[in-house]
Amino acid sequence: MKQLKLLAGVMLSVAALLTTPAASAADATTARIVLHAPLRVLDPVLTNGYITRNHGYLIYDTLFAMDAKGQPEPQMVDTWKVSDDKLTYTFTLRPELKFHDGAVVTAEDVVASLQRWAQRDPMGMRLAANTAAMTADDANTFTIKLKQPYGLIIESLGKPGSPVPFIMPKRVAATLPSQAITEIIGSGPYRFVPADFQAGVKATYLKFADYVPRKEPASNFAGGKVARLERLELVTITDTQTAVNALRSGEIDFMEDVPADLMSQLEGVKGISTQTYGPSTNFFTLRMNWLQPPFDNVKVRQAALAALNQVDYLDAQIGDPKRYQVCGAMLTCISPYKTEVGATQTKAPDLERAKALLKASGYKGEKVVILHPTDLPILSSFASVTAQALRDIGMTVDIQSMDWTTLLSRRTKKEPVDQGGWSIVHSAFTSLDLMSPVVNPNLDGRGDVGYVGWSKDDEMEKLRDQFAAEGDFDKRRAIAEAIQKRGYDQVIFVPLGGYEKFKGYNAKFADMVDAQLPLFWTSGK
Amino acid sequence: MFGIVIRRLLSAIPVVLIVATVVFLLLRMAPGDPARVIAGDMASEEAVAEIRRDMGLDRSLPAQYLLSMTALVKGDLGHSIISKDPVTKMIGQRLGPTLSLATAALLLTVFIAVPLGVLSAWWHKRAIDRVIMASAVLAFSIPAFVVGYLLILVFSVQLNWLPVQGYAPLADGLGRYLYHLVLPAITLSLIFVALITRITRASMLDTLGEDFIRTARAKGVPERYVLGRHALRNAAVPIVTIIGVAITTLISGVVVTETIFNIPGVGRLIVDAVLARDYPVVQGTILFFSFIYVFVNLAIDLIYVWLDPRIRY
Repeated sequence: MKQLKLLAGVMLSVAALLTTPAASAADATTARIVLHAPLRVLDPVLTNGYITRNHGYLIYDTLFAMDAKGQPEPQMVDTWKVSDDKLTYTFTLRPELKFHDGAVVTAEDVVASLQRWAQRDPMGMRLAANTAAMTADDANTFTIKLKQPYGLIIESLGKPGSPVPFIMPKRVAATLPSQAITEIIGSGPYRFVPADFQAGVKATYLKFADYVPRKEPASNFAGGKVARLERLELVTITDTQTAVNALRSGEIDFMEDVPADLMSQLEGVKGISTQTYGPSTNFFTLRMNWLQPPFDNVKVRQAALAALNQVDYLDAQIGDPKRYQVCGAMLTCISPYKTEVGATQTKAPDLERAKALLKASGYKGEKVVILHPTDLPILSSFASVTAQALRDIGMTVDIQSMDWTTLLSRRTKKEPVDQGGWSIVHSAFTSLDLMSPVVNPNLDGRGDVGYVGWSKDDEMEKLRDQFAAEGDFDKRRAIAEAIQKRGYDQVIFVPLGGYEKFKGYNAKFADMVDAQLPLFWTSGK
Repeated sequence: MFGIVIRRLLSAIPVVLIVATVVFLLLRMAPGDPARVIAGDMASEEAVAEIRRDMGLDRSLPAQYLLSMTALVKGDLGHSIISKDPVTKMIGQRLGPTLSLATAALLLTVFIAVPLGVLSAWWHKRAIDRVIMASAVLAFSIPAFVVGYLLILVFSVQLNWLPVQGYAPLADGLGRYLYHLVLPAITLSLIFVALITRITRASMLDTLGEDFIRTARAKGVPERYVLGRHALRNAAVPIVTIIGVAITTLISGVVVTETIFNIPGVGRLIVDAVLARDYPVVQGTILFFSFIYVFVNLAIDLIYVWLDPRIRY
């Protein structure tokens, strides 16, 4: 009897211990969020990693921001004007802007932040190259004086893709762009809590009480950033199945990227919603190495292009046609400059034409080395689809598998394939990083000093310069079309189509703004 | 005894230096560039080269090795290339979850496996023995990720009794601490329960056939004393050896369980560091593991002496 009582006591104690409520319950103003990757680097200029960009949007603000129509709208900027000769832009900051340490945001902070960003970002570099002087005129006015008219000033300051021109205090922005900033202070709707940060594990953001949102309703990256939640806890869950289970059980409140094959596990679950970030928010590409045979020969590149079929890739990788978009636009199908001119891979491949082009190229069976990342599921199927298409027209193909970090390093090798070089790499981008000819790295025509693949095309560079200098939208669209035509003629890269990413969340994020990225403020509707 | 400890500790020094050198060379020979990882996919080569220079990775290999070894001799494992945090601090932050998980799994293993092995040997070739052995084979054959997901599906998603993921430190209260450890500990221990059950059974069977056991039974010693005091103690040396191996494996090889249950332990730290080519973190963590191996082996050698005083070193 005594033993039975003891046993019952132990069991009751264990039951009491185990019925402790789950951590998630916290309260209605705290949310746990899971983003697509572990957050390790906190400096959004040092890295163009997407996870650091997402972290940046929580704590930093931008001068301009892109709205739902793709137009840049003032964000930190209150008013701005352009001189008649279009060489001087003067900007006035909103008076209520404050950093998280309480200091007022000044024009000097803006100038220092832009100068640091412009040393890293291709669009910023172009802006700097066209700028004669960038000066702080008084506490909240700054001026950009140009050497010659330049059409992308406002687009540059409101660039939504990585690296984003976030504004930091001048003392922080004084850090060399090759060194990580050590103070994480912005003027955005949330403030970072350094003491809670554990690299790759967790980060905490608290609502910044002194943040004054714009009056306009939120629209994509623009408008009023009204933070409804008091506390956001970023937790890293590397296994997507575990993250989906955690969302179902209420242990987390938001999951940035729900993989296609796990979507069905969230559909119909009470209190959980899934929603797309919009069609074609992400984009696949194929890039060839122009420095080495066989793709140093434009005819071989054209033959390869003629053999490819986007649908094969999208079926293999995404599967559900509702979640992918066939798109031949080199600037993606969310770009205001989108066009299908020159695209052939969006239709059934013309293998006879491909074979004829290959024969005419003088191809002698040189080995094509395709780099295949084994630890990046979103690119897992691409190497085999490309290999099959090229084998179908008689090319010799070797798929070489490796982890993504090795691949990033390997693809910088310019040597022949038998000395560690490569022929083809595939990538997945946020469409924001491709939607303008100025930011799209795949259109780089600077040769061996440019983006990997080292495409050398002076005509392309001339067209990109013309695009950047042009202020009129319609004329820019015409130039963008010429760029795409040239791009397909030379096969500077191959767009492989767009796909939709889905977020999963509970009621705490029901009024989250619709945007192409996870932005944690309300829609204001 | 004291002499053994001192000799073993001194012999650990060259082991650690060799491990440090091998790890240093392996990491530098492996392809991949931490500067590229930091800068990101689209960064220019100039930007990557600047970061590489700032991190000191443009120095010659001997210069990097000298710096690394000098710091190690001073007890400094360096700083993470990616996060800039001290490696010792990072290991310290991750050690709590790993040790908690390993300890819980070890306790489960010992308290389940040893009695099961003894019972199985005692009822040799009878139904209960066959059931235990068949279960052990099954448990040994199912991968941890299958067990983990099944347990999550049943106890977390369907029944909502236990959490899907995460770790709560003891400071959050014993209840929350145990609440988060139950499923991972069961998942992790299953394979070791199976292994140690089989080892215990085999060792007990050998011992139960010895003359001194027959003598003990002939003298009328109760069966529970025969099993517990005479047989188990004499069968314990191979069991302790396997438990020692299990301890080191539990501490250094829990990455799958840590990933499934999202426990921020040392296993995940080292895998993340390898993928990011975070050289100091990989090096520091492996050195830490080598220390653990040395100390666990030393402890096991001392336990051998205690279990069987005939053993001499």
